[in-house]
Amino acid sequence: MAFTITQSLIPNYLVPMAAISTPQTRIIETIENPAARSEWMQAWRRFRANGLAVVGLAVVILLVLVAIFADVLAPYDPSFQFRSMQGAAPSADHWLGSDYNGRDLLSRVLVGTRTALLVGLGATFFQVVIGVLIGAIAGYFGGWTDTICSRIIDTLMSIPVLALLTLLAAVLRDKNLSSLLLIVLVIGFTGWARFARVVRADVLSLRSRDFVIAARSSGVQPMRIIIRHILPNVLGPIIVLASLGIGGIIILESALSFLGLGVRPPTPSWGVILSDGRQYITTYPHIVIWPGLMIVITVLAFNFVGDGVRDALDPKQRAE
Amino acid sequence: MLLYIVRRLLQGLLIVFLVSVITFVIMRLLPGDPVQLLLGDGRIKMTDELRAAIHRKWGFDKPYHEQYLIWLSSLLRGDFGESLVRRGVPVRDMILEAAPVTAFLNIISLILAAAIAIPAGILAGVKRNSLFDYVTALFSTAGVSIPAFWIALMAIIFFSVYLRWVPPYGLKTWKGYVLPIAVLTFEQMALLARVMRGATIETLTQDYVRTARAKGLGERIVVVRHAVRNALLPVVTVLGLQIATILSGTIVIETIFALPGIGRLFIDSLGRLDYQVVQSLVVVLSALVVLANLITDLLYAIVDPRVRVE
Repeated sequence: MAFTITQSLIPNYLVPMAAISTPQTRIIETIENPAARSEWMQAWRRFRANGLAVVGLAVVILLVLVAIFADVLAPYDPSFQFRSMQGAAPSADHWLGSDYNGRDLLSRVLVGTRTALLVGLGATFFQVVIGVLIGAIAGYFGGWTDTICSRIIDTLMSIPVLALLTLLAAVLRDKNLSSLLLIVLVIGFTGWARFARVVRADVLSLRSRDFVIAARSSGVQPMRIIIRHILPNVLGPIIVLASLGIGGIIILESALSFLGLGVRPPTPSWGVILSDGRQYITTYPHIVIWPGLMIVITVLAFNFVGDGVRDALDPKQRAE
Repeated sequence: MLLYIVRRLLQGLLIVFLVSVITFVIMRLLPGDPVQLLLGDGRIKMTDELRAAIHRKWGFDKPYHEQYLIWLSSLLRGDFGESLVRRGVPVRDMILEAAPVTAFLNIISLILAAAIAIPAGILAGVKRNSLFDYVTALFSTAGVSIPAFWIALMAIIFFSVYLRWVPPYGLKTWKGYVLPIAVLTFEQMALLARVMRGATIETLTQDYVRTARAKGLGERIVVVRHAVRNALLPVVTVLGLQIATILSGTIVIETIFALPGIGRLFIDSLGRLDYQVVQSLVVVLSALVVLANLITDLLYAIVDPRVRVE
C-alpha cells in the first residue's frame, strides 16, 4: 500500500530510471526509435552493436550448451582408463590424445566445462548476494553498522586471495561436502567484498535522494526501501562487476584445483587435468595444452561479454 | 597530514589484528592433528603420555583464547615462534630465508612490467586505434585472460623441454629465474598497460592540454610534460592495489617452478599443518598489503597536490 502512494507522489522525471545512462543518449535514441524507451532495451541495442561482445556471448552460450550436454558429447567415460593408451598422442579415436592414466582427454576437457561454469556462475551468485546485502545495509544505515561492515570489507581485501582460499579449502576439505560445492561456497564467501564496496558507495549517495526520502517519510520499512527503491538503481554496476568477475573466478578455481586444493578427482576440472599433466610435462607435453586453451577461451569469452555489458550499461564508463 | 597517517596506521593495525584472529580460528579448524602428522601418520608408535607431553610443550592443551593471546603477544614482540615440522627452527628465520627469493622475483618483474607497460600504454593512448594500439590491447587482454600457471607450463614446454635454454624448475643457476620473471612480468603488464592507456586518453581531452597545444607547444612536449604526468596517477593506485594480487600470483608461480620463496613455504607448510608458519605468513602478508596501500595513498597525495588528505 505504502509503495503505491510513494509512486504516485513522485513525478516520473524525479525517479531516476537509472544513474547509468546520459540524458543525451536517452533523448537521441528515443527520437530515433520511439519503441526503445526502456533502459534495458537501449542497453541491449548498444550491446548488440559491439562485435566482440556478441562473439563472446555466442561462445558463452556454446559453452553452456557443452556443459549441459557434456555427457552426450563426450565420446568416452571421462574416468575410464584405456589400457596401453597412457599418454597417447592425438589420434582418430582419441582426438586430443590420452592423459597419463590412459583416460580420453577430449571427454575430460568437455566434462571439465561443466565444473568451470558451475563454479564461475555459482560463486558469482553467492558473491553478489552477500556483497549486495552487506553493502546495502552498510550504506543505508551508516553509523556503527557501516563502520563494522567497512572494516570487515577492508580486512577481506587485505588478505591475499589465494592465501585465504587455500586456507579455507584446506579446513573444509575433509567435511562431507562435494568438493565442487565447497569451492563454490569458499570463493563465494571470500570474494564478496568488491561488490559490497561498490554497492555501499552507491547506496550512500542514493539514500539522501528525494525519492528515498519520500519513501521513508511515507513510512516504508527500511528493508523494503532498500529492495524496492534503492537496489534497482545499483543494478547496473552490479551486473557489470559480476560479468567482469566470472572469468577471474574460473581462473581462481583452476589455480586452486591445480594446487590440489580445489575440485578433487574424480570430478574432471581443467585445473586438475593441468596438474595431472604437469607431472609428465617433459614426456607428454600435449596433456597440458587443451585444458589451458579451454580456460583461455572461456575466460576471454566472459571478459568480452563483461566489457560489452559495461559499455552498454555505462556509456560514460563511470564504474572502473 | 600527521594525524591522517596516525589514523590510517591505527586502522591498518585493526585490520591486521582481525586478520590474525581469522587466521587463528581457521588454523584451529584444520582437520588432522599436527603431532600425528609429524610422526608419519601413526607409523611411529607413541604412548598417550608422550603425545600429551608434546601437546603440552606446544601449548595445544591450553584453551584456544589462551593459545591466541600467547601467540599475539609473541607476535607483538616480533617473535613468530618455532616451526612445528622443522623442529627448533624459528619461523622468522624461515620467512627471512624465503623472502629474498619472492622479493627479487616480484620487484624485478614489477620494474620490467612498468618499464614496458607504461610507455606502451601512453603510446597506445596517444595513437588511439592505430595498429600499435590494437597490438597492445591484444597483449593486455591476453595477460588478463590467460592464467599465469598455464603460461608457465607452456613456457616450460617451449623453452625448457623443446629448446632446452633454461631449466624447467629450481634455482641451481641464475637461469632458473628467467621463466618465472618472464611469466610474472607478462601478467603484471596487462592491467598496467590498460590503465595507462585509459588515463592517457582521458588527460589528452583536458582543457590544460588544449591550452598547451594552443600556445604552440610541440605534441611531444604536450604529451610528456602535461598529459603523462597526470595520467600516471591512476597507475600509482593500481600498483598499490595490485600488491595483494601479486602475492597470490607468487604462490602459484613458485609452486610450478619449485622456487624456495614465500609462496612455496606457504603451500608446503599448509600441507604439513605447520600452524606456526602458516598463521605467521598470512599475518605478515596482510600487514604488507595494508602498508602498501597506505604508502600508495600517501604517495598519491604527494604526487598530486590537488588530492588533499582529509
